Amino acid sequence: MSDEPQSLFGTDPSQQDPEEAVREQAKRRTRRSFIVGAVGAVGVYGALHWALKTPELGGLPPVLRRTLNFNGALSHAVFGDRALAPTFPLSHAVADVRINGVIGLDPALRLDRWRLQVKGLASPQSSPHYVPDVNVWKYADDAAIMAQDASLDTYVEGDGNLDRENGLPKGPEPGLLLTMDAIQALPHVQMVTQLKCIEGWSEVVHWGGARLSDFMHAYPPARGAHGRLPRYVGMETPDRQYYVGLHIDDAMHPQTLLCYEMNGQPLSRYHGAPLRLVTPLKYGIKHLKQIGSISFSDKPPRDYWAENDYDYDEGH
Amino acid sequence: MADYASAGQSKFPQQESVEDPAPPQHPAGQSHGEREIAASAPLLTLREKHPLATRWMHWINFPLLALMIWSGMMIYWADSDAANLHPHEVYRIGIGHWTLFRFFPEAFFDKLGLTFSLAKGLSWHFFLMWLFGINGLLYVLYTFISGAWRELVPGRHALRDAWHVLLHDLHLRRGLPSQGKYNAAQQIIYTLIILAGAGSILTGLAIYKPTQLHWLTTLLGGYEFARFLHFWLTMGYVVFFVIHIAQVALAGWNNFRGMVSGFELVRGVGAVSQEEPR
Repeated sequence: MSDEPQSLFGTDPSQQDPEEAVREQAKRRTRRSFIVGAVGAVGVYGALHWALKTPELGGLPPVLRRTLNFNGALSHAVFGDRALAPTFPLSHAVADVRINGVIGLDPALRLDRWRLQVKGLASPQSSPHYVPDVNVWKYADDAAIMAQDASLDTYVEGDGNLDRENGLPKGPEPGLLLTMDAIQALPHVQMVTQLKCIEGWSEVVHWGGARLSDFMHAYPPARGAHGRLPRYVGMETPDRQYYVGLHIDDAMHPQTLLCYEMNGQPLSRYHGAPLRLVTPLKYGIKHLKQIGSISFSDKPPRDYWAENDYDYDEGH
Repeated sequence: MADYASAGQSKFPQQESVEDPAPPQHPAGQSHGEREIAASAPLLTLREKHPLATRWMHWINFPLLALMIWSGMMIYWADSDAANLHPHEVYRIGIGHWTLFRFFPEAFFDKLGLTFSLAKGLSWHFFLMWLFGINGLLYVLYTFISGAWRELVPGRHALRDAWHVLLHDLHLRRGLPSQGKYNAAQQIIYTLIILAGAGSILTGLAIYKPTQLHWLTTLLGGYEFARFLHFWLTMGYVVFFVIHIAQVALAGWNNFRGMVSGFELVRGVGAVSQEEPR
């Protein structure tokens, strides 16, 4: 064992067993790649942690909300929402359409006391349905009628002019108060399309009503610079508990209906009588039942489910 | 750190590599004589196995797919929860109105904390889909441009060879068919998993944009069937994952390190490579 001291100092690979050099190299590369991997994993974890800790944007971490908005804008840019949803033979339509979601729906709403409030029109004053403030219209349901029938008037100037959500007085909003006769005077259309719920289920439904685009021709919205249409349409239930925003291109789509019929019959109360929105471009959560008001604006209208962490666009 | 020499054999040795197990590594401080005996055996060699790009894309895909499944489960929960209100006809095993098993039982979602998170699941799914899609696209591009696809795409006799590999793995057959970097069974499965990834993206798009891309949705059998396919492809990943992990565990450290560090140690092939991967 005379060479024992030599091997103790044998750090030079050339003096070692050639396999020792290979093992050293393997060890070195292994160590390096595992360190890089660990740093990468920590980096990704840290980035996610940071992204999810930053203040939320409309109920979602900004990175997720911005991605949803980006996806919506990209979809709009790519597809232009021009595609027509597939239609089905009448025989495919389900007889008993599922009732799903009753937020903002008053099943006891007196249909004779229903009016469609329309805001943001080009020249509402010229219409016989013009009122200086549409918000003062008082909807009534059977219970309310029974409780205080005499005190309820159809149109009370200066009354009920409150922001329902914040209870703050709102400025007057001039517009129209339309009855169902005005909607039914528009060209009647029917279609059989698939309603897709964001929860996963879907049903083929036979709808009937008027195109929203026909409505907008009959009651033209106020145009902005260069004669451009406003960017958005907002709809709310009479009690303001449910509300949706729709891009103007989706509103102008030939399959976007102000719907008042299902399976050839007037809408049932739980399906949104007397008037609801139907658009096969969007998930069911945009198909607002019992429309109380329609407004046109350049500002994105508030949207119930977007406020509850869902995508604003909800196009599909 | 592990004993490299004893891990010198991969599960599926290449044609040129030796069939015998690696000679035992001599402990430090051995005599000259023993060293010379060891050196006369085929030389231990560091052989490049997986390129850096492949390794990065492989490891990036792992958490991405896991998170895609996690957020997907939140989306499925909403459908399962409404099963009593609506015939559950997509995520199940059954025929017509008869259902044997529904995906998934409520307790499953409860245990994993996936209940009442539809909005969260959707927003994550539609965020991660970009990363999953980009990573997958880059992988396919890289594999084609680098020529690595030649080792991956199954050849003419792949089915027969894969059968022999399976029999060998089940200890029903001795010896393995000749192979390159991957054996025939690996080639078939790895190619299928890439095709499944493309399938997930296509069925995902068909579900995501069934109106704007209605031709794609129709091509994939309609909205419900596209969702059915999307779900079962994912179940396929889970099965693949279990088998993959088992095989990697059986194959040992040398093989696993190949996917992390890019090389494996083999005996008797060429000279020692001093080249470090970049």
